[in-house]
Amino acid sequence: MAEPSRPRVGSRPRVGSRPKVAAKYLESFSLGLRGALEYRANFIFSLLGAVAPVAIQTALWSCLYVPGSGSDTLFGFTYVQMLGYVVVANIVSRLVRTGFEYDLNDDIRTGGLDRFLVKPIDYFGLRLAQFAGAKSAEAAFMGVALAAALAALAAATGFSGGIAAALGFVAALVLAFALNFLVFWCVGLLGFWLTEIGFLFEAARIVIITASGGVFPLSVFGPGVESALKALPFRFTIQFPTEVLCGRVAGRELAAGLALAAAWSAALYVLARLLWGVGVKRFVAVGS
Amino acid sequence: MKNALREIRKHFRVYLALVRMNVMSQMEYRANFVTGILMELGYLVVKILYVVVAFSSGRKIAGFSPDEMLVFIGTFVTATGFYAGLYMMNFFQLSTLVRDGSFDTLLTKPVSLQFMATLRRCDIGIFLVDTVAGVAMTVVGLSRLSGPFEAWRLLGYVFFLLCGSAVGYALYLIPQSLVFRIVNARAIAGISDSFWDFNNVPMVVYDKLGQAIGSYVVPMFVITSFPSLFALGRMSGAQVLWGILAPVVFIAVSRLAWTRGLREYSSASG
Amino acid sequence: METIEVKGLTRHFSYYEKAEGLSGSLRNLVSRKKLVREAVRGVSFGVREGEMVGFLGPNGAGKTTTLKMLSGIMHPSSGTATVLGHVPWLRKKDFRMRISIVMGQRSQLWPDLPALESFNLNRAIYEIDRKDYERTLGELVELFGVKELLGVQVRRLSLGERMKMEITAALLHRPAVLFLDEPTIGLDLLSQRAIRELIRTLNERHGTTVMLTSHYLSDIQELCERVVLINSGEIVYDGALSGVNATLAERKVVRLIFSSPVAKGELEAYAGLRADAAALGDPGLLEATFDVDRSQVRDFSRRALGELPVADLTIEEVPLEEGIARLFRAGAGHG
Repeated sequence: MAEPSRPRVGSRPRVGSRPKVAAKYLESFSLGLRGALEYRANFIFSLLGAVAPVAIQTALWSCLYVPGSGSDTLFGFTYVQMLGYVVVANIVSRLVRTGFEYDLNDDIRTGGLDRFLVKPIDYFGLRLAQFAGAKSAEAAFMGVALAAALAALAAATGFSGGIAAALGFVAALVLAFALNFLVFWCVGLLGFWLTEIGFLFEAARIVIITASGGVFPLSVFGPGVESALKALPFRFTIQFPTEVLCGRVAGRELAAGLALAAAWSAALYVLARLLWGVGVKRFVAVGS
Repeated sequence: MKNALREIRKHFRVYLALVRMNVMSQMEYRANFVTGILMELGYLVVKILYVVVAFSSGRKIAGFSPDEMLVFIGTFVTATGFYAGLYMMNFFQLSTLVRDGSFDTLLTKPVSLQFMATLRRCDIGIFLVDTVAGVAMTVVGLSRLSGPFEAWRLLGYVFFLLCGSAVGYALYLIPQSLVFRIVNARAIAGISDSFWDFNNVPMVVYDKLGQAIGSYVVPMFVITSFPSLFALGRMSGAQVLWGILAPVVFIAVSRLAWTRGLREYSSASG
Repeated sequence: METIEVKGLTRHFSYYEKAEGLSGSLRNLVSRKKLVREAVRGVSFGVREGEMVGFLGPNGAGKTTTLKMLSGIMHPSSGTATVLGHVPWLRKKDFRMRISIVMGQRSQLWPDLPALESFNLNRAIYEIDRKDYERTLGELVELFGVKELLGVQVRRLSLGERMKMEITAALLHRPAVLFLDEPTIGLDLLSQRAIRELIRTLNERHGTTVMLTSHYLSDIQELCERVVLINSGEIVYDGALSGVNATLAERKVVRLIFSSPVAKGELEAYAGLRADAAALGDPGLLEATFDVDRSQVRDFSRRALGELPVADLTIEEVPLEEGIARLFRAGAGHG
């Protein structure tokens, strides 16, 4: 891998010079990428952490479904579909997981944000580029893990996905990354208003994963709660890509889902900008 | 005998002082305290989802009704209160304790070292959230089941719950005894921690091999499934026997692992 | 029988050589080269009841290791020791009830709570009767003058105040033997003096046997009649402080910083110009250090301030390593 050019200390960036600015984002991207490669053990550990819930839930569903019946459905899933859901959702939820909210909060609390506010560089863009870099490395690892898991599942149960589903999944996954980034960006911005965040991010994460269908498909909540949760953007971060890969969402429904996810991303982006604007004003006023 | 009783009373007094100090320290960091409870509530919701699945499917699980599932999962939540509220933090901090030298100071105190190193910290907020929710779930589950619930059954349930809690303590301490040899015991704690959730569904859900391993080799089912089985009147004779023996065996093994690790520490460390 | 008896106490640490880079790591997997460092080598001495002994030596000399063995934290590689009739590293309860150790760089107090809470915990741990506890605490608090600080969170205390609290916590059960490892490390001069005074009072009033390590000579000078000098794991001197005092403490290092360069020749007019300083810079020096007899420091400073363009002047102790080296050259080591 080529060593990215580091900005020299003291060299003033020329305002508005496009290539230089792009280089900064590229550098952030590569920073995230290298970080993910360096700490790949962490990601592999977190994938191993998915083994326990997959085993637990597989055991549970095997008891709940009528044995040997391919047509038996629960919560709108056949047995094979449910197993596919368990495997894919557990991997996807680990893949889209963020962590930058702690850095963001640190930058707000320690005043490290100052450095960025005076530069002709967008802090949001830098963090997004870094996130994208880290995630593209992890996605490569995950691609292998997922393919292996699905092959095993196919051999054991006759589960089948297909190329179209895989392509749709990639599109849905990209949107899931974007949405989850935006969601946790907004959560992280709470640091502007709270002096201590404690375990707030972890509390938010567990609730958001649940509302995204990361534990069980949303249909287990019953029709009322399900439709309420479906009206929120969270399901597009886990349940939607999972169902696309499992072949439960295709064609027109897939297109509509992608469009809705994109619309949610746009809406959250606007919200993020608004929160950022108000927060920075406060940050500068408080002068922390 | 008299001496042993005196020591037990003393350690009880020390524990009370420690609990008091933990509560006071937590009040110093209210944000941590409050958000810690929020986080535990989040995890609680995930555990309850398994109950939701049982009820909304309306099916029996390996011969157990949704109400019986509620008893199992309520017991699991209660046991989690003990684990996450009283033990876990200490295990996670053990390597820090050794590295920053606080462990050395503990070594010179006239009090059980294992007691101080593994029970020093507690989070009463988490303990209360889980035990209150867990007991409530168990009581609701039991009261929905037909038939009176006799006093002896309650006593037996509490007895096996405490036995299970002791097994949980031992089971999670054993890998931590490696802390004296391996610097990064946090990873060990993290991995063994993820095994805890196997109790989120009753042991009957797993196949025969899984049940045997989870009962006798890595006896995590003794922690939460055994007391529930007893309360539901579905515990086999062998399970009763093992339920009583397992805490003795595993506390002894953990004690052994601990003293071995410790010997290595005081003869090898700098 | 003496309160502390030590015979041939030795402690090795083994560690592995780590070759550099990935290939080195791989090679280590196959065969590792085991290296041994001798931290303490055959140390022997005895301490009488009520005695206050200073353990003096440079960093890494083996002071803390010895103290750790005597307080039961660590096993020796060989040799024997008894403290109050017990073998420390067996860590019998009776032994642990009667000793205390304070390590300057480690806290046994809970940082987020007032020290009083940690005292209360120690009351339970050492099974102290409430009446005794209140009497001892009252006495110590008065002695230390820390009454108002009892309710303040430990992390808000100054380093000196914290150390007073650490020592209080260590004394509540009235130990017969007190080990103090670098109790004044990092403290300002005023706090250092306060801590020293406390230790002396304690020793005089209660007859507590005290073993104190330090790499500040002044700690030991003011507290201990007897000093044990340790260097590279071996005792190089054991005896009255007066025996080494002359060599170690009678000289000071005076450092001068000049506002404009001063010619070397001009500085050589003063006795005791240190070689390391003299070897530097040719045309003129901006900084110079001198070895000066303690009795001469005042005159020396006055003269230097009058004759040289001095911007700053500091007076320091002779570094301990150097003092010990000089002690050897002087042939004073008869321990």
